[in-house]
Amino acid sequence: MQLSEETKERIGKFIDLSRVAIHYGYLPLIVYLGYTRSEPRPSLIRLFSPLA
Amino acid sequence: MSSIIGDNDAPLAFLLNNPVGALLADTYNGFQERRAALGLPNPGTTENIAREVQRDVFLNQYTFSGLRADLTKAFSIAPLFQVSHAFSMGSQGLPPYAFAALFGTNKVFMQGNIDNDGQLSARFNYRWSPAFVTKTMVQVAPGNQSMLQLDNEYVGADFTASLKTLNPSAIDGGLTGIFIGSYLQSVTPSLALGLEAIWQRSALNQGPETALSYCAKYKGSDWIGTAQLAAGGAFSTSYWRRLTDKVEAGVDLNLQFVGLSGAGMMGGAKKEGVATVGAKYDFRMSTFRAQVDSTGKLGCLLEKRVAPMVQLTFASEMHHATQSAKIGVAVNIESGGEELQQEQTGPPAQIPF
Repeated sequence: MQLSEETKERIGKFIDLSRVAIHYGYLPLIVYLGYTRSEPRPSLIRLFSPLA
Repeated sequence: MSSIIGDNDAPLAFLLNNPVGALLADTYNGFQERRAALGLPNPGTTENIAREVQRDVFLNQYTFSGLRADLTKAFSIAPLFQVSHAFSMGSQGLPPYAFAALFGTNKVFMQGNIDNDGQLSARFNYRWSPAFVTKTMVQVAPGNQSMLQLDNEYVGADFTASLKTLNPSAIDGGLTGIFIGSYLQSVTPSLALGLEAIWQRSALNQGPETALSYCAKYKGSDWIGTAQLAAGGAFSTSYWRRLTDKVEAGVDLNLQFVGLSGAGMMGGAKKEGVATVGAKYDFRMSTFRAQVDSTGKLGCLLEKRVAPMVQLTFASEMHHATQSAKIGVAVNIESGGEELQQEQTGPPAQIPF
């Protein structure tokens, strides 16, 4: 299977984009999911501050 | 074991509603029934075949050097939600600051860990069915380096099969990456045999390489013995024994008949081996692990819970042959976990870790 240069470039761009999305979006996603699903809801200050 | 004879009005029912299909299905079901009647236990995974020795008794997983402080906050048990901050000083491997978050339900397990250099390691596990779990691991560094690992694991009643891929890619017109398939099957209630096949191709201008390794695990009443023979002549055995209900001991022997690392550089077969002996003591509020190996390395680790929320860990390692020593002290503070544990009712969640 030989891909055309254009498709290769598109796949490369897609991989780069998803890498950036994972890099910056994954932890906020986990924290958001945890924040909205946990019972009772934690306070935001406790969520982020190491000392609180 | 599930039966493959389904409803008569299923779309593919004609495949089984003929004499040959029925005969095959009957044979298959009969075989599965006999297999279920043997009552063989699940043997665990090939990767974790020597887990009792290497994970539980030895301190390779736990040892560190320098000063460390971990602050873990548990906000919820079902779904599991934890946030942790880790600080460290004076250690070679650990970053000065790392933030980690963890979220788990019965179907999904998500974990992310980012350090102060911006290096992210993320895990995403998904349970498709009670037996089938897909585990994904991604590592992204700020530059242009990243790593992807996909692991599909099927845990059957008496076997475990897994297919793992590292950095798979088909962009260049061919398949590259590392593919590892492994299968471990219980043969008798105490003996399990397995094999692992590796296929790797780092780039298209190189040919693929394959390797096959074999393993066996024998589980007695209070002891476990394992043996692994890897491609390239590496042979390792381990023996684990529960001496009393608080004390466990383990021995591990690693022999390298044809040095994978040494053969290329030294030119010729090199024989080397390492034997390690370790023990683990569980006390009421603390755990002590100690090990010594044949290269002259002595290590011990003491984990002590000084208060319900605070755990202190002391780690030390001494290498007599090279005259080097490492020492580490860690404080681990957990908050929220205790109250949540008491509040929790019902069975614990089956999180696909």
